[in-house]
Amino acid sequence: MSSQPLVSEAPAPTTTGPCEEVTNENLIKGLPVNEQDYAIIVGVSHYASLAQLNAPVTDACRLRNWLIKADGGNLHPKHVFFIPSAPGSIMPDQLAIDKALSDILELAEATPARRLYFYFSGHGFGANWEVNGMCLPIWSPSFYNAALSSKAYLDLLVEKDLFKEVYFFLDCCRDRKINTKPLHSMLGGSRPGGANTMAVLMYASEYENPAWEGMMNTNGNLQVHGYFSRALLEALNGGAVNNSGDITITSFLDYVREKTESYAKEKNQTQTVRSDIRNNSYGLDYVIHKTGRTPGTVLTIQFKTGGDISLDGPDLSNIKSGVVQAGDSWLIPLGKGYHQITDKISKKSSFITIDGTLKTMIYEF
Amino acid sequence: MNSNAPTFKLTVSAVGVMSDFAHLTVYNGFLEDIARGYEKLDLNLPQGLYSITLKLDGNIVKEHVRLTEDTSYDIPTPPVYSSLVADRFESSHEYYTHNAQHYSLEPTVPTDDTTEGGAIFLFFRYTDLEKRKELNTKQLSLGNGFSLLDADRQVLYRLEGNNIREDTDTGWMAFHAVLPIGTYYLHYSGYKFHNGDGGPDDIPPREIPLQVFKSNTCLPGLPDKCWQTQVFLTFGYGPIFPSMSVFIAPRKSGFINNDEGNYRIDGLRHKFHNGVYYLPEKVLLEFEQGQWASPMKGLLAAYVYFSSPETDNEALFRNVAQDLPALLGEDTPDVKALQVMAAQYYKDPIPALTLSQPCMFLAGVRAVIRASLTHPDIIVDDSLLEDITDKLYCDMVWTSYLPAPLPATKQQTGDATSGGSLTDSIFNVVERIIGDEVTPEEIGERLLQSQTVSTLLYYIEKLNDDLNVNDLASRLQIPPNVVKKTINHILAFSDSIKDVKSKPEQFNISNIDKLKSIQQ
Repeated sequence: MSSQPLVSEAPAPTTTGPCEEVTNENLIKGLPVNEQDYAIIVGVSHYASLAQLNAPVTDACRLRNWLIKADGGNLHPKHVFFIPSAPGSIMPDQLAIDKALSDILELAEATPARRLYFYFSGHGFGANWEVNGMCLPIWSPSFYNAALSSKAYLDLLVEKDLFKEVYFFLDCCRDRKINTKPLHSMLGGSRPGGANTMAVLMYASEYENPAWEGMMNTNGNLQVHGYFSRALLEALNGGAVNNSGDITITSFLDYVREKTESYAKEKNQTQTVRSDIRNNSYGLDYVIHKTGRTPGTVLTIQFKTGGDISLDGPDLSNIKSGVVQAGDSWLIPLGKGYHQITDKISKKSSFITIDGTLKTMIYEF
Repeated sequence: MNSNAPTFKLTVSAVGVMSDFAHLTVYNGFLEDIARGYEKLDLNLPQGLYSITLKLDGNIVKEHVRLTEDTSYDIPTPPVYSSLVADRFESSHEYYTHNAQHYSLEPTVPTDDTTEGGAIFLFFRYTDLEKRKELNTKQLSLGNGFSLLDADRQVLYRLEGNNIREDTDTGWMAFHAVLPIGTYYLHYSGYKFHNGDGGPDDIPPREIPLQVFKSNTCLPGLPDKCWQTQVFLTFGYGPIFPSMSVFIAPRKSGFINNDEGNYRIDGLRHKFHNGVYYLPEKVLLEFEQGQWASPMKGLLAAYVYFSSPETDNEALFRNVAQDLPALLGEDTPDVKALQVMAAQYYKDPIPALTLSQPCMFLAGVRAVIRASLTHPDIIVDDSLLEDITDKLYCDMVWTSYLPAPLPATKQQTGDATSGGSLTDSIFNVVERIIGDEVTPEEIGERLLQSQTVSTLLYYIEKLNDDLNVNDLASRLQIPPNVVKKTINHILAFSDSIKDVKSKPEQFNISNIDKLKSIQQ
């Protein structure tokens, strides 16, 4: 690769920064890791003149940690370029991100690469439907320059033709901002065209719409997350697995879309994920991650009134039936899917969705 | 899932306004996406639990289904809001619809009955009376700040006084002028206001090209051979430009509030605005049958098709692209832009044509700018089109840009396409940017407020070598000639301040030297 030289040295990517230390246990055990995979994870919570955000750095940490874990992305930690913002700092700037990208491109040129994850969480705006500005910490109305063009960066990564797969996740607003020209990467060099690179692009919201963050309950802990980022992590952590224990492109996109919408709806907001796929010669059932786990939840159904109850599974096979009294409860392990509970006496009926992300769940009927 | 389970028909239909554009997804009981498509899905499925999601215009409707027999499931489409005051839109009201119909048939400015060509009809309004009361307590005219300019950017009409009809109570304004064929510009001078939070806000100036299309003699059965270009715009605190809908109808028909074709055009535009290149079967069928009763539908469909990576219907749209010049006039900017776009789509050579005026669709202008990277002469030197390429707003499907200030009013000209020199009305980049600033520091700072100048200097500073005009043009998404001119202006300014000690740091020797090497 002959990329254009950068004018000054950007600071080395932070390996951990605000994140908890994680290791890839496969490295310690001498087991294989995904040496051909790379990631650039950018989380910008701190801005010079825009409102501070609570979720981006935390969410970026969680994704970074998933990527490094042996049962997650199984990446070599040195292949994960984690670029968080920090209080009182105007870093990262474009150079910091381009430097990380430049390092990855060099590595990918030296040894065949399989996959690149690019994640940005922070403030953003929609320059138009296909170009999103990813705001850097220094962004302000006077520093219109300080926003990276989603399209220019994705085009660069795809057209380099160095990766078989590129996953591009943007958790930022897409509110319209007129007459803006988000920046292209400083990196140049040859661009064979990208015919061999599949790109999966996910925007946290539709053009002209905001992406939200909010306080959410994560395994009993209250934390602020971007709705999209939370759905993304849940999907990768098993929420998107099909009944074979695999995460396919379709199951992944569906899960993230569905969960983001439902998290927003819980807070009386609307947020619709937008996805685009380029050059997908593998098909939508392509497995992007194998978990080996079959998703399921132990459901406790608490009955508020008595009745003659029937619980049916996704294919209408009966899972459990019986007469219950008010105050009774059923404890049932259920697989991922829709279930229907019906009181044969009152004819009252409800659908229960088990998405596989929770180990236990309580449902009142 | 038991493969021996009996199967049943599940028919899912979106019903109601804009159902062609309602996107349906069916999930099986295991949360797997098993079918998707627009308007109607016919499926054969095993018994089980399913869910259906309908998405339209930002609304999401979810339903669960227990499938134990053949089932037909209709999902009403959610209410749709649009600038178009058509009968079946939630945001249409009798007090708007009636007046839109009335004034689309009655010019609001004096007209010469012998005028051939067409007309422009503008209808501005709030979403409803309540919004008018909330957002415009002083009942200001919706025409404030608007003017209609001719092809030379001379003011034909200001949207005020006797030129318009309006009701500032219910909140609407109509303007209707019979005009010769050609390009016109709807100019808006901007507006400062206090938003809902009480903070200052502003809507910047903007100009939008509008085309009055060639009279048509080759379409049988139309009530009039002249076209009327109809523009519908909704107001909030000020004009909400991305909501703008444009239609082209026979002049004598005026606006028809229950025209099925208008719903389809609005749906196409809305999808296109969101980067969804979807053409309903019914639209494709109309083209296959050669039904060209609506030029706007044809233009929109062609732009949608040539923006899409899909290769279905290649032959059909080759025909559409070939038919357009005869139908709408071969000199029409949108027709030329579509020919460029079609060439890019089919990977054919760029046709030998030139454009000096912007077309109505932003996608067309962008296609021409892309073509200019390899064919710089496609954009006429010093033309209005060249001038606006670095001032485009990209927030709607229509072309719009930050305009030069308004020239003085003149009487309506007989021929808008006289094509007088545009150069007189064009300021050079730097002169336009600079106002009353006098010191080099002030001028430099002001220059840097220009998106093009500041972004160009940013790239110059950050990138070391291999920089050339085409690379910068590609990064800035402007024609190479505009890059060259901008560099010339920066160098001219830099030269004039070479002896000044205090100047903006971006104008340092290193950057200036790089600019000079690019210029050579």
